[in-house]
This record gives sequence, C-alpha cells and structure tokens, in this order.
Amino acid sequence: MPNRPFTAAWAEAFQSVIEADDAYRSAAAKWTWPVALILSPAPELGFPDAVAVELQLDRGRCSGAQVVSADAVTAPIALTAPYAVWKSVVRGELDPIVGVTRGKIAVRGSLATLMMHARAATALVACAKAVPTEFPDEE
Amino acid sequence: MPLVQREAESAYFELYRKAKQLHWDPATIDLRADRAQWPQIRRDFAAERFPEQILRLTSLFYEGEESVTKTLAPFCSAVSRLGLGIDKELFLTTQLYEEAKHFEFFARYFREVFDEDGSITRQYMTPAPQAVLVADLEEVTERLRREDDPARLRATFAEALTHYMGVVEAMLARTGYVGAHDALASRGWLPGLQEGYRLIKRDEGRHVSFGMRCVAELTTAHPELKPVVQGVFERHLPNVLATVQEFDYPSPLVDLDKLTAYALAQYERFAAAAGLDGGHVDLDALSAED
Repeated sequence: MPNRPFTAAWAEAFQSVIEADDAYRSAAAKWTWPVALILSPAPELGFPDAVAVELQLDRGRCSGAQVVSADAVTAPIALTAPYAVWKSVVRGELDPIVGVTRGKIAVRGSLATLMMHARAATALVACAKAVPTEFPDEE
Repeated sequence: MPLVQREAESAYFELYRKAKQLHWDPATIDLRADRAQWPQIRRDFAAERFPEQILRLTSLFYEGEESVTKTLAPFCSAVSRLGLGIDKELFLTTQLYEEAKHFEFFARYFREVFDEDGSITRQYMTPAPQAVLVADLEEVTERLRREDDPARLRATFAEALTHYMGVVEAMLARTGYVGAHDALASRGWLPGLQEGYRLIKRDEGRHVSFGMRCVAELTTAHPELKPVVQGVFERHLPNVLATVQEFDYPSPLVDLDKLTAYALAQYERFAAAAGLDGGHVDLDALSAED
C-alpha cells in the first residue's frame, strides 16, 4: 500500500526495501555512517516544518529508519532538498550525486566521504524508487 | 647522491623515462587553422556564447598552468629534505619543465589566436577557481618551502601533493582537458588547441600517477596522514564543483554531467590510493595513465 513520503510508514517500507536489496548491500559495503534525508518545509503539501528520515546504515545494512524533525537529526551526513527535488530523486529521475553537484541537494557533513561512496548513495536512493509512494501533489 | 639500482627500476624512474620519450614542443603546434576559425566562431556562435565559454575554459587553463609552474619547485626541495629518493626528484624535474611548457602553450595561444596578451584571463578568476588554483596552492607550497620539522614537513608534503596532483591536476585539469577536447573535437573546431589539450592531458596523467603513488606510500607508512589528505578534499571539493558549474550555460559547450562524473571518478581514484575508502592500497595497480 503506498504511503506519503517522509512518514513513519514510508520510512519503514524504505528500510525493508534497503534490507532486501542485494545491489545496495554490495555498493554500500564500506558505508558506515547514518544518513538523514531532510525535506524542506512544504506547508501546501502537509509539511509545515522541515522533516527528516534518518537511516541507520552500516556496511550495506539498514537497522532503522525513523522520521524526526530536522532539528533532531543526529546523523553525521544530512542531505536537504525541497519536495520537488526529492520527488525526482525518489522517482529515479535525478541521481542524488548529480543533485548535490548541481546544488539542488545541500549536504551537511563530509562531502568528501559522500563523494567517495557515490555508488552507495545512488544505490540507496534507487531503493527509494521501489517504495510504494503516494505523492501528495498528485492526490 | 648515487642512483641506486632500486631507484633506477622504480615506478618513479619509469615515469621520468616516459617523460623523456614523450617530449613535445609547444612552439611547433600548428595554429594556422585556429587563427582562421576563431573569428568565424566568434561571429557565428555569439548567441550560444560559445566564444565566451572557450575563452573561460582556456583562461582557467592559462591561470592554472601558470600557478602550478610557479608552485612546483618546493616539492623537489621537500623530497630531498625528506630523503624520499633521487628517482622522485628526477621525475619532478620533468614535471617542472612540462608545467612551464603548458603555460608557454597557453601564452602562445592567447597571443597568436585570441590576439590577447593573457591579461583577460583574470576576469574569469571568480572566487572558487582563484582559491583552488592559485591562492590556496600558493599558501600550502609556501609552507612546504619553509617547514623544517620532519614530521610537519611530511604532513605538509602530503597536503601539498593532494592539493596539487589530486585536486588541481586530477580533478580540475585532466577533467577540463577531457571535456574541452571532446567539445572541440565533436565540432571540428580549433585543431591546434585540441592537440595542445591532448598532449597536456597526457603529461598530466604522469603527474597524477606520481602524486597518487607518493600519497599512497605516505599514508601506508603513516596512516595518521589520511585525515590530512581528506581535509584537503573536504576544503576543495566545493570549489571544484563550483568551478565546473561555472560552465552551466544555457547552451553549454561541454557536457557538464559527464565532466562532473569524470572529476568525481578522479577524486575517487586518488582518495582510494590514499586509503580513504578503507580498502587495501595496491601500489602496483597505480600505473601511469596515457
């Protein structure tokens, strides 16, 4: 059943897809840091405040996916973008690394680490494409 | 100091040998077709701003080559003071000569094709390329020149190698030469400039191989230097990406995404050589690129 992005149910489904994805497990074998995906406020779509999905990632595994407010993010690497950009990423239309290099996705944390593991980042969001998603601007 | 057998058979000596074999002279590249084409390109493609993009690209190369020519000498001295081997010093002499040739090529190109003395290049030196190509490179190589303490000199050498060969040459110069050569070759434009790009890129491949190998050896023997290498990339990746984005014109001359991907692949190779990806560094696999 599709869920709205950046909700607890969607994050849980995202975690399940990551855990089942062999391509991600291989690409992220050396990735050992939690990551937060932060959605900028989009009140017109039901997101009055910035919200984040924090993923507990370690060597190809995802042991948790929590929805938290952007202020509560503790992950050392956080990617922030507006709704339209995340939608493009989730749909597989925008590679997250291209999003970063083009300045569409802001990075907080080690850019060098993220770029060193670009394939892991790409494989991670490829998992998001497989998550049944109900986009609020299409409801 | 004798050249011992181990040094005469080293990968650094092989790079030195290749540099001698692959000699070329910037004064002999034929620029007649370029001189004939440039006014046509300026006239026929002004709307696409292709002439401006070619000038911007070539200006960054001009400024970059001038900067790396001026800042390489402290590396030779540091290698000697650290006792890292005459084979490395021999190679660096070829690199210094080659950087001077690259600068000579662009100076000649501005004079003979663009009909400029090179001073217009300054207008394209916005904060990101100015920091990464000139100001910060001068700063780190000046520290390299002055440092006396052996441990700090080794750390500064790792920092300077990463900045010069990893960021400036691998990520910016080689990427730029690939993108610029492809852009001109696909249009059949400026064959003399294409030839210069091709030859310079070939030289840069040896320089990057030298830097990668040195950094790999340093971080393998002194793992505490890995954060120094990472720190350089943390500081300058945003400058590299910002420099590439300056070519994001409505009608771009170069394929920006391809260029960015190439720059990041160069970064990945250099960082992996420094052991930043957590993997094993295979020194034998760090062969010279053509």
